[in-house]
Amino acid sequence: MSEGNGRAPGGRAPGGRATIRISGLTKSFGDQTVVNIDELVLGAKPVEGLIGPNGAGKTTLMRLIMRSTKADTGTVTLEDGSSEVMLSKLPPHRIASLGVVKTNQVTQDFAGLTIWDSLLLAVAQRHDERPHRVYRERHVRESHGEEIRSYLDLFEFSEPEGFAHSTGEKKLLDVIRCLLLKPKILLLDEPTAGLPDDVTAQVIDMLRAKVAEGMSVVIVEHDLDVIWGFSDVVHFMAEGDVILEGDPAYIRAHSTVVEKYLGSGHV
Amino acid sequence: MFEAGGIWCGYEADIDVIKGLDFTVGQEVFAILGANGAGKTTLLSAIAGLLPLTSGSIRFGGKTISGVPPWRIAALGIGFVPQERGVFPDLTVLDNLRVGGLVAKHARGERIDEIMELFPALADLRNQRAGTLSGGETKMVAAGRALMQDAKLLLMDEPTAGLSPLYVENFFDRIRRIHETKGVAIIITEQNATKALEVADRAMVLSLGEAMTITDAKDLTTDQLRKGYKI
Repeated sequence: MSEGNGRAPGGRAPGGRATIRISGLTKSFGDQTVVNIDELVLGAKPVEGLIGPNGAGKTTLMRLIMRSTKADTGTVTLEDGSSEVMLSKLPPHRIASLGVVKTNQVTQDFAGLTIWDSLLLAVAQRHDERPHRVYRERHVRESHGEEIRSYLDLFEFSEPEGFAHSTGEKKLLDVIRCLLLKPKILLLDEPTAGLPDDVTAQVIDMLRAKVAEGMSVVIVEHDLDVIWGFSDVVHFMAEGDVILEGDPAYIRAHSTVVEKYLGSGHV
Repeated sequence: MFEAGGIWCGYEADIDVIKGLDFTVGQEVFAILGANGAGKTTLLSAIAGLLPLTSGSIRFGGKTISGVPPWRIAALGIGFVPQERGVFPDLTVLDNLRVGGLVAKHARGERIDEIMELFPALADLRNQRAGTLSGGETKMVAAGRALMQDAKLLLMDEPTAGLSPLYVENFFDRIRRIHETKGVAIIITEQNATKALEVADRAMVLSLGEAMTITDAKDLTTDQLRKGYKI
């Protein structure tokens, strides 16, 4: 970390938000180091943007947090109130059950499940219920119905009682599935890619409502207008490290950001 | 030489990544600049015939090539150097170049000598498996393979992404040399605008699939770039 403003000094955020502390985290593929972070805290502010040019390491960092990719070295710790849990020792599903949940840049498609059933799967996970019970026992299904309906009513799925058809619908489903897990910290990897502008706005509104209820968001997004308008703080990554942190206006105007995106001739 | 008229395309029927682009490329180096997600790779894939257009048309050398299969587009003289997986890892450097020459009309031996002259580092590696090469060497083989097919237009997708600064400098020099000595037109996508503009004659700034600006490289302003990149 070289410089910045707006960063919470420690792992525990003011207001009692859970945070993710990253220490000495590295990951290489072959001879290329893609993540090399000495110290970083995520989640201290309600909405944190994670940006950087191609190959900066943003998606890999999110995967390392969720342990869908294994780190070479370093630790990732969830700090929540007085408790600390080393995420870097847990499998992804345990990390999710502790409240750290991630959407995927390329949607994970439960192709054989209807919209309703794929959302029930998330509810079952949250309640530690066995999926077959959720599907087979009508009263269990119905007890979760209202919550699922409250999300589905926000959007116009082409076949709400059937399957998600378009990439946009699958993206939406991915975000809703994650929200049904009631995460403390939601990691979003390009959640609006491929969505029409009006649906993007709806997704951001839905996320804002959840943030107001106490959820934190860390978002990677290629449309920087979303980042500038939505984030409280922005982490700027380049060559595997977060080299700058600050509020959106500070990051947007910073010469290093311009240089890393455009090259040194345009600062 | 090359014309794209009102082209729309994407990976699924309901989502267009490229949204109505109109542009022409002559005997020049044409840079397509933009941030991640701008649609640069999608656009090159569509030109190479790897992705069908939703609407619009692409013409090359007076012929419509949209809807034409990729191998035929290659045979017409459009070489594609993808950002990744541009070589056959189990083949030697030499065999990679030979494969590129399969669709060419000219003698392969002569062209291999030209490639080795252009990328001298490959001469010592000619019998090495391409999968064992460094990132920079792999990019040279991929570019060489595309040139072997007697390309009149070379599509290069972020050819310096992930390379060390030394390779980057060297590679941009080679791009200009390929154009000037071999008369090959080049469409190059890049995120690093400064480097690309040093070798380009004209440039397009792409933002979320739309052309924000198309102008002479020397006239492109920082403000135009920042607007396109949304920074």
